[in-house]
This record gives sequence, structure tokens and C-alpha cells, in this order.
Amino acid sequence: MDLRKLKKLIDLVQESGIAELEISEGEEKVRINRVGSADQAVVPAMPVAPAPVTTISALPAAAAATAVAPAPEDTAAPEVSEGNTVKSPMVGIFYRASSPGANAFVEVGQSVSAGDTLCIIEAMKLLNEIEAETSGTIKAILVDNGQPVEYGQPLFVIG
Amino acid sequence: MYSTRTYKVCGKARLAGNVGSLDQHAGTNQLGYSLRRIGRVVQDMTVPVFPFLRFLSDGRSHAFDEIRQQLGLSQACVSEVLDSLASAGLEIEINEQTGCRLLTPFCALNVAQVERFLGDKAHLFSIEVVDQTGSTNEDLMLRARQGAAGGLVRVAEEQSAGRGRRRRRWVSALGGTLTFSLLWNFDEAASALSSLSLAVGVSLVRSLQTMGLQGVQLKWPNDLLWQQRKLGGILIESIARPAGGISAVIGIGINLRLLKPVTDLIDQPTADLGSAGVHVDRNRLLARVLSDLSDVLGTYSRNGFGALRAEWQRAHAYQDKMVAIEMSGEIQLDGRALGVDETGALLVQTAEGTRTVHSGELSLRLKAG
Repeated sequence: MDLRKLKKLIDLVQESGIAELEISEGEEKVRINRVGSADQAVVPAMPVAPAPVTTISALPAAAAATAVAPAPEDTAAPEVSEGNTVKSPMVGIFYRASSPGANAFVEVGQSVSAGDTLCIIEAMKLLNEIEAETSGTIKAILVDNGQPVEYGQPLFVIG
Repeated sequence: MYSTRTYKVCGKARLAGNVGSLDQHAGTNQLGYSLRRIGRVVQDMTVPVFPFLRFLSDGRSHAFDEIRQQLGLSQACVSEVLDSLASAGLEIEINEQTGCRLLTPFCALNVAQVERFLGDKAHLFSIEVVDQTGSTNEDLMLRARQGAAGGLVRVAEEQSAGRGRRRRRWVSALGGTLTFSLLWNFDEAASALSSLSLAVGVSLVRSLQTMGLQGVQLKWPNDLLWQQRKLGGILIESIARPAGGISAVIGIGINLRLLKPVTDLIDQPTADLGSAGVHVDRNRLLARVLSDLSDVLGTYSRNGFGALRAEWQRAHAYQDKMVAIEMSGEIQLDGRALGVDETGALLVQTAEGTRTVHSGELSLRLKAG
């Protein structure tokens, strides 16, 4: 199961307010356990074992260590493990620049301030500018330029 | 005997910028003009072209002395303005003794006039007219970021900046198009507004019908067609408001009168109100369009696109036609256009079943044989 999907599931759990969600997909099984209310998702990914059960807890970082089974360090997923995720507010096409020849609005590692333009999502000739809601550093850009995105799909991680 | 000379268009085109902001991601602006060759680029806006034009817009002959005095211009400056107007596709009769007379009708944009035509809806809008600007959409996006109130309208006699996604450039005759942007604030989330271009299209069809033009059709998602030729277009930019909801900047361009030398430079078939036999004052047209938009946007906010869908379908140019959807120059899918769904997405019946299309460039696919 890819990170994007995991992130989506975490968001789903957080938004819905349900306590736990378990999903099986082929050999893989993911359980998302929501402890308390949290703004930041912590994702200590477990290694894929013969009978894998990945537990993902959406809870504050401080509480993570006690609530989640210890995860081997080498399998941590840094892309979605820290910071705020910027999600697509609509179905459309993701554009990183204002025009094909132009520089991208942001690159990984760049620091941004609240209000800075991050990307454009276009649907039916509505060009929707997405701004950073918080200041920080772009930790990850999760979608390639020109690719279609779904509603709620994570686009950036700002840490 | 009078010595009379008339400035002709001379095959030069005035570069009018990308009319009303462009479509950054698909390579068409609202009017979608792209030049095969660039005519004279007007950069001499240091001379007072628009005050001069407004002065001559009564169509009467004015003596040079009168012009110089009224506008406070030197003789050299008057000559420069005349050159500039000629290159902008306007015909002016010059007579050394009686002065000059504008032969091409020019209706100057005027806020008071638009408000008069708007009548009891005038309070819904705050209208600004500018002679020249890069892009009215860009101007209003700046204002939206500063938290401007909805109903702000910016109309330009001429737009000069081009930032088209495929570096296309646009032309129109001076005074021959209506290009403006409207800032409208919605309480809805962005996901509820993706069909906004279609709703605006429905509104424009209503306006043009009221102005006497029948047979206006819509090409998904944002073009106005008349007899399968492009009459106008829509481009919407939006941004989230800090307090929630969305500020949308709705850019609209409508062709009123394209001169032959200008249309020659445009690489796609175009239509204009004049050649369709509709001669209309731009101020009256703008008022009509704004008035209908306030109704349609109200319906759209209250009831969603579903409430406008039947009207859109009636104007659908490609209903049941074979079409192709292109993205980044590559054909993504082709099939029969079935119309739009409740969200404004285009439904295309392909060999693999019905597909729902949210983005891409639509073109007619002519059947072989």
C-alpha cells in the first residue's frame, strides 16, 4: 500500500472521528488507531512481515511512543511523518508553476510563509490557487506536475 | 479641393494582450486568439491614445486646433496618436483643413453608463474602467488576496500582458472586444465550484440571446461558440479566503468586432457580434452580462450546477458528436460526447464505457468517411 493511500486513510479516520479502521488489501493489512484528537499524524510504518499488520496511530507526537508498537527506525516514512499536509480541495490537475516555462512556485527544502502560493489545481478551466496555511519548509511534494489529483489527496508536506 | 487621406488598417494588428487573462494551463485565453505572425506591438501608450479616441468617438469631424487645445497635445503628439490608432485597426479620415474624423465606430467604456443600464442592480457591483492593463484577472487576483469585497468589476479597453501557458499571444481590434473580470466571493468550498465556468457559460448565453443573438452554443468547459466559431471565452481563477469560502475572479471576453486583418492573424475560426448582425454598445452589453451573472451565480450558490444543467445541455455545441480529450498535447480518450453531469464534468462514451472528464482540451473528431 503506497504512502499516498496510507495518508488518505489517516485523513479519513481523523476527519470522520471513528476510533479505529482496519483495511486488508491482498497480503497487506493496515489498522489505523485514533487515540485522542490530534492535528498531526504520526506514521511509524511497520516492516512488511509474513503476516503484516501495520498499525498507524493518529495522535500527537509526544504520545506516539507509548501508544504505538515500536517501529524499526529504518522503515520510518519521513514524507508523511512530520509536519502539516496540504491537501487538494478539489478534483483536478495539479500544476506546480503558473505556466510551462515558469519556475515552480516551490521546491522541496524551500521555506514558505503562510499565504505563499504552492500550486494550482485546475478543473474545467477554474484555476484554483493553493496557498500555504502555515509557515515552514517544504518537506515533500507528493504529486508530479500535470497529474490528476483527487479530492483530499495530499499534495505537500510542510514541516 | 480637400486633400483627404484615410488611415487604413494596413494589415497591422494591434497586440491586445491576452484578452482578460489567459488560460494558463491549456493555452487558450478567453478569446483564444493566437497569432501566426505578430503585427505591430503597441508600446507607445505614453501618447494619450484613449483620451483622443474618446474625444473622437462621437464620429464627427474635429479640427486639429480643437483637438490640440482640448487635449493639450502638440502637433507631433497628435500625429503619433493617429499612427497608433491606425495600427490598432481603426480607420480615421484625415483632412488637412477640416481635421479628422473617426470612421470606425468606437464606444468608450463608461462606468456611469454601465450603472445606468444596470438600474436597480447597480448596487451589487463596483465597476472600474482602465484604459490598459496587463490582465484584469491578474489585477483582481491581487485584490482578492487583499480581501476585496465581492462584486468588484474591472474592465479594460486593452490588455497587454501575455502569460499564456503555451506562450501564445492574442490580438483584437481596439474597442472590438469586451474584456473584463468580476470578483465574486462564495461561501462554498473549492470542490463545489469546479463547475463555475459552465454556470458562467449559461449566463452568457442568456445575455447574448437577450441582446438579439440566437444560436450561441457552449463548448465544454469554457468557450462560447457561434456557428461553430469562437465568439468568446471564460477563464476563472480562484483562491481560498482566510475566513472560509472562495474568492473567484471570473474573466470574460466577448468579440464584438474583429477586423479582417486581425482575424487573418488568428489561427482558429472566430466569430464576432458585428458579423452576426448584432451591433451593441459595450456598456449595455456589460450591464446585461453582469445582471445575468448576479442571477445565475445566485442560483448556482443556492442550488448548485444541477439547477443550470438542463440549460447548459440545450446550448451544448458537441452533444452526441465524436470528440477527443487532449491533455498536454496527448489524446487521453475519445468517444461520443454525452453531455455533462451534475458536477459539470463531461461524460464521454468510449469503447471501454462511459468516462467522466474533469480536465483537458476538447476537440471535435471528424469521422473518416
